[in-house]
Amino acid sequence: MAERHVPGDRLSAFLDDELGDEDALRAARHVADCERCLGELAALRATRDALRALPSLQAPVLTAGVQARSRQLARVARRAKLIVAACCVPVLIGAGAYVLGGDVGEVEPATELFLVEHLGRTGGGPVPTAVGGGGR
Amino acid sequence: MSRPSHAAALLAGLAVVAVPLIVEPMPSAPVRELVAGQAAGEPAGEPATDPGAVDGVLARASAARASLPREGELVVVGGSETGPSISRMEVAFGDGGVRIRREGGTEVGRVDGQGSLRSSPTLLQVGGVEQVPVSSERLHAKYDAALGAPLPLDTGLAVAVSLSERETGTLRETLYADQVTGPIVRRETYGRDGAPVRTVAFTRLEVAERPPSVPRARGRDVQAHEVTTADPELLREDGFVIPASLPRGYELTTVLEVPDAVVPTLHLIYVDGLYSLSVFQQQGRMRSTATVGASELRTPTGGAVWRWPGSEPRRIVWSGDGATFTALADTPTDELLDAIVGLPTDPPPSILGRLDRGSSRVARWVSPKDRSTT
Repeated sequence: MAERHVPGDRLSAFLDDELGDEDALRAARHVADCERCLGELAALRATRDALRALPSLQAPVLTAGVQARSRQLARVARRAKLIVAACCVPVLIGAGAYVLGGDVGEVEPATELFLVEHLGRTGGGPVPTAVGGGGR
Repeated sequence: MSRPSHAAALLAGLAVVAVPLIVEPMPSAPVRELVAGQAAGEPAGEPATDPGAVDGVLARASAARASLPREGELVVVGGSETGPSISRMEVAFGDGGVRIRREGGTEVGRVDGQGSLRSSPTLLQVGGVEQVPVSSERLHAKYDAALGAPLPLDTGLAVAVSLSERETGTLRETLYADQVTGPIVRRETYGRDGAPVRTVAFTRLEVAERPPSVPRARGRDVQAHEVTTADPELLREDGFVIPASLPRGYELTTVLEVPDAVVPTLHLIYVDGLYSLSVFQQQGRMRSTATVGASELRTPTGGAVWRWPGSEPRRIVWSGDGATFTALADTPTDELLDAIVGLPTDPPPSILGRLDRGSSRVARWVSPKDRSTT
């Protein structure tokens, strides 16, 4: 019974010498006895050689006008960056001053001590002391 | 002391005091009677303006308060922009001391030179608390005094003393001295616009068996402080602001220092003969959370201060020139705001002010000269 045909992807790998030794030997034996696979291998080789024979493409050369325009765009971009930076600096300084200018006071009025002091020293006259109401 | 009938004064008093002060909720019956029962600064009969007679009444009141042990119920009715506030407290005085026990537990007093305040869970004790002398000369320099005929009050017949600002002729205070035993049993305070701003009155006052005692710790934490007299000149050199007088005739009488305070702290006492104004000055800016619950007010020069609505004694706090100030006084608020113009006050908080403060702070940091001094 004839061995099964070599699939196309394996033939392509055989052509590019990408199969392992054992697989490559088995494929070579089969192709030598199988006209169909031999023909297919020949077609693959022809396609590969044709592709390799194509001339290499080169990127189009920019004209002097396009290059000048490109440089101008780059200058505008740089200027825009400078303007943005110039605007950001005062904004950052202002934000920093705003943060630093926040109320960082740390003194808490000693309410109860002050109340005792005030009432103790000033409540001794003839007038009855006003104590109460809201607040702390 | 008997409870007099004061039906005649009730209607007149209601129109002047009860309407502006008492809105809702209505106070209990004794407070209604208290507010309604006042004569609203119009003592009956022909007023006597002899300063000697007024001094006699006030001196007798002062002596009675210091020497005659009494206890009773005191009600304070105050008005503010947020509505009336009513406080009721038990008061005992005599033998040079006084103790005020407020409904709700707070107790404050002074006995034998020791001031104390008990509020759960702490007992605050302050030693060396000597009273500021009362000067009748200052009183007569600023106020015109007039004696009225006796009026029936809750505590009995009382002689009215009306005190009007000489400069404006505005009635500021009416005091009622018990005709039999002498102590002031009621005081009514008026704003510059003539509206009543506070009434302090005994609804009950009886002879006590013994003088008031100092509040006891009863297992609570005790914070003890000692406040000492200080030399104003030395303190000025240390950067404290100590004006010899404040606007509206307030003169400096006492300079005290709290040596064990967290930050250097002063207590300045100014008097005008009728009112006493305590100014506490702490070095350093006030913490912004210190004004939670307070209303922002403006001094006549535009400074920003904060007052707790209805607080008695009136208490306002503010920052000025890097210091924190607390003023406590029994003066009407308008008078208080006028007086503190003589002290530094920062403008109200604003974005520009904050930017300026931040820039100055950075400038101080980067300036070698300022860095060396801070």
